[in-house]
Amino acid sequence: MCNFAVEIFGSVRSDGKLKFYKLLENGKAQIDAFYDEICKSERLLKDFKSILACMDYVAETDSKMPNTKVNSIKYNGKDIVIEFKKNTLRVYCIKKAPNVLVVLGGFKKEQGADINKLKRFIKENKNLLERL
Amino acid sequence: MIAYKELLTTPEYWTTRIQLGLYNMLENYMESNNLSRVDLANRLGVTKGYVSQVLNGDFDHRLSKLVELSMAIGMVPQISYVPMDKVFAPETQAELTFDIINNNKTPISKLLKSFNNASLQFSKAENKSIYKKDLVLSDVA
Repeated sequence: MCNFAVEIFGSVRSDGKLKFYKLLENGKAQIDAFYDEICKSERLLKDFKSILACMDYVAETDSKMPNTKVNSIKYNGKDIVIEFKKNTLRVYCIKKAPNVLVVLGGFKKEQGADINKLKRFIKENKNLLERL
Repeated sequence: MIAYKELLTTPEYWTTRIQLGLYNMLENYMESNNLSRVDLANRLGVTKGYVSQVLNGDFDHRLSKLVELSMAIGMVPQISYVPMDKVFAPETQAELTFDIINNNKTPISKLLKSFNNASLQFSKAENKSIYKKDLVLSDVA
């Protein structure tokens, strides 16, 4: 059985209009493992920092963002999935204002599979997300 | 994972913020004046491609272009220089400490690593969250 928990996402501000958390599955966050993977590349690390800067801006302002940087993906007709992007990198979050849950990091080439993974997670964990 | 304090020391962070600030300024101007991207390009005397680049949040042109663009919509960019240690204020620190059941204050990240199968209860000034084994999610304010 999976044990889920959340933790403050310590890479963006915590005092803005939106509060970011990261999802822990059995005590580990996929986004942390993803970061460990991409930080071996200087180029990917720079792109990831740009994504974090966008996330921080969204945390601060919750304002409209260029759709080349932030994309809303509908699930059941609602905009609850947010995709932050920079070049080949993607970070997927679930938004239930004023909280945002950072779920998954991935690459553009796996976008389809990652979005399906996220939608499956939403479908299988409705109770969890209702409490977000 | 990179901590917020460290992120604030990177050029990528500040470049992106400036680009997004410029994007928001132009979006607000277009909305206030009911302009399309083509209208804005015509008003500014630039190409639609140039406007699209700015509205994609990818402005990275000369400083003089930033000034021209701002002034064309009645705004003036003002750049101030702030010591980095003044930018990061303690109250914005991302890693928060929590009281646990026995009233110790321990960073939450360390707590979750050390408690694999235990119940964990903590509270912060305005939030109250409970973590339990097998509970999918706590009440997050």
